[in-house]
Amino acid sequence: MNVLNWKSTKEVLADKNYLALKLLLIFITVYLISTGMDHKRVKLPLLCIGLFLIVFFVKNLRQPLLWYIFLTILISDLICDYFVRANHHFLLIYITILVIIFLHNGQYEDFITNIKLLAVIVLLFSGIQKLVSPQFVSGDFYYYMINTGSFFKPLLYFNPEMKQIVAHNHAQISELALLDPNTSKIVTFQNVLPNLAIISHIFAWFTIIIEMGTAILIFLKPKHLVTHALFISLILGIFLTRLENGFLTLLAISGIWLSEHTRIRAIYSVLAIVFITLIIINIGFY
Amino acid sequence: MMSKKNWPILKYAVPIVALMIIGVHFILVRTSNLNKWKGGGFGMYSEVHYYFNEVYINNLTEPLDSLIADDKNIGNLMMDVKRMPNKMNLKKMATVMSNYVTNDTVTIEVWKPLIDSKNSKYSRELINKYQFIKP
Repeated sequence: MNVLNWKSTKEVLADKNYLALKLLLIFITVYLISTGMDHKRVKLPLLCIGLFLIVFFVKNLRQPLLWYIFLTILISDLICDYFVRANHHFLLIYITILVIIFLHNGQYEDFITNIKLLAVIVLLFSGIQKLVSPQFVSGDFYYYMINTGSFFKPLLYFNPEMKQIVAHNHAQISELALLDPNTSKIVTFQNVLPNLAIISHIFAWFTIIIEMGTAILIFLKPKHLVTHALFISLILGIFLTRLENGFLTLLAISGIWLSEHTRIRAIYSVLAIVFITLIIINIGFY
Repeated sequence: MMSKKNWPILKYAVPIVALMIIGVHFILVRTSNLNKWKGGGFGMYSEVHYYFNEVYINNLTEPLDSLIADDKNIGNLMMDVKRMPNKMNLKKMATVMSNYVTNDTVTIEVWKPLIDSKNSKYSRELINKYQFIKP
């Protein structure tokens, strides 16, 4: 038997709904396991009932019941801890509701339009929030994150000097934390890179332009190759800056739904698989 | 039953709900000091994470870290206060912390990192404070 049949791979990529649903199913499963520790008392009965229903009543992933079960558990997390949940938890709930509506009414065009609008909202407001944040637009946020090793972490492994500077800055912050903040003491950071303040400032504006530009392109030209080239670049850019795997998986899955090209879908699929794998092996964030 | 034809807005109910939640997030950021990272407003990475905020309480009988290590509830309260330092959360924490202070007054202050990249400086800025007097 030819297990690795590339023709079948092409068929999978051609059916974007099935492909995206399959990846979404895998992601939600992994996400629910990763967040399973939260609110055990609530989750225990919900998961038991959910698993019972899945084992005895769910026959395929196009069955709305399966997604109702996921939605119930995701909403339970939101009810128990609304202000603790990450932004992509909200996005995951929105997408799951859209999937349920689509599986009921079969209105494909409406579904894709809604996925597009969600992607636009997420990227646009992500950009707006940065635009209205003085700490972000001044470059101060990136300056802090880079100087404390919170961004571009892998670089520290290859550059001992940078690692030492980051350790120094951490020590400065820790020492300051021991003092009463009312003393108004100030510490001085060492820079991991020369001209980091300027670089951070430029990088901040570049981020805002790319995020908002991608949102506008998705809104106006959701199927265009340039749109997807930019969207994929944005996903890769976020990935290289910080391993926000959960958020990135959902962006990649949205990309599959929005794309009309099998090769582009293949890229989104590979990205989603890599992000999900990183969540499973606990590298980065879920 | 009302058809979707009469109510085209229902077609886009999910994005509309998302926008409403973002609206609530903005209101809470303004009125209740909610950190931009939370509440579904997609404000992640627009400012330093609330984890790096500092909670300062005067006249504690022992360091706050030790109290948190002994009592998970204090740790949860501290995260609530860091995430949303509004009067309600500060009062809740002050009430609990009044059992661990040397006098009758508890003052809780929440500070956030203040960065000045042009001059390479790092300091702290007060977000909110609350004073509680033991009954």
